[in-house]
Amino acid sequence: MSHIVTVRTQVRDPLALAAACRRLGLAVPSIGTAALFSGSAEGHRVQLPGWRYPVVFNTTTGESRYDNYGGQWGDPRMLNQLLQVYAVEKAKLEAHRQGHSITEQRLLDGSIKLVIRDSGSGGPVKGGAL
Amino acid sequence: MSHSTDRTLEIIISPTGQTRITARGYTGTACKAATRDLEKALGFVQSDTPTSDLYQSEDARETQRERG
Repeated sequence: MSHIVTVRTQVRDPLALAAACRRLGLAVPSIGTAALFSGSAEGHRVQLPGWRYPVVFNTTTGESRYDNYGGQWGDPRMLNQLLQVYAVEKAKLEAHRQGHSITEQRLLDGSIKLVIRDSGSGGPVKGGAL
Repeated sequence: MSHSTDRTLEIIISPTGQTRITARGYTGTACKAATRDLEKALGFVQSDTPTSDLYQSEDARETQRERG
């Protein structure tokens, strides 16, 4: 018996967000208020390549704010890529925290596959930079 | 003794950041418990579907082990 869970990513961990930015070659997020086209937003600011305004993540609520004008002021694929890599880094942090080993593999469709092996309580951490 | 290493969580993260978690090798309530922390860590659950693919899962794990 198994089960399949589908999860919508919410950015709530500043450490995983910073790790994702480093991995993508982006500047580490800065905390503060960012001016957007429509008002302003406070949180962890990430400047994506080619984006006119930063993306602002509120790690308390998991919400994000940005103005990319339907893609004309910023390619939404850049944000999707950041969310994908954030989820990878967050899953790795969680696996390591629980003492499990983890492997990573990029799939042909652009997805990233992680396999976490339950090593039981107190098992060695075998994962690492992948 | 390798029973503990037979329990795995397979996570597929799409290019849009959506995550699918599949728990294999767990029994009973341990199956739900195995994914709970990851679900909370990654975001909010959109769907949760039980499966009965035990035999397929066994085959997949054997294949993975051979490659690994």
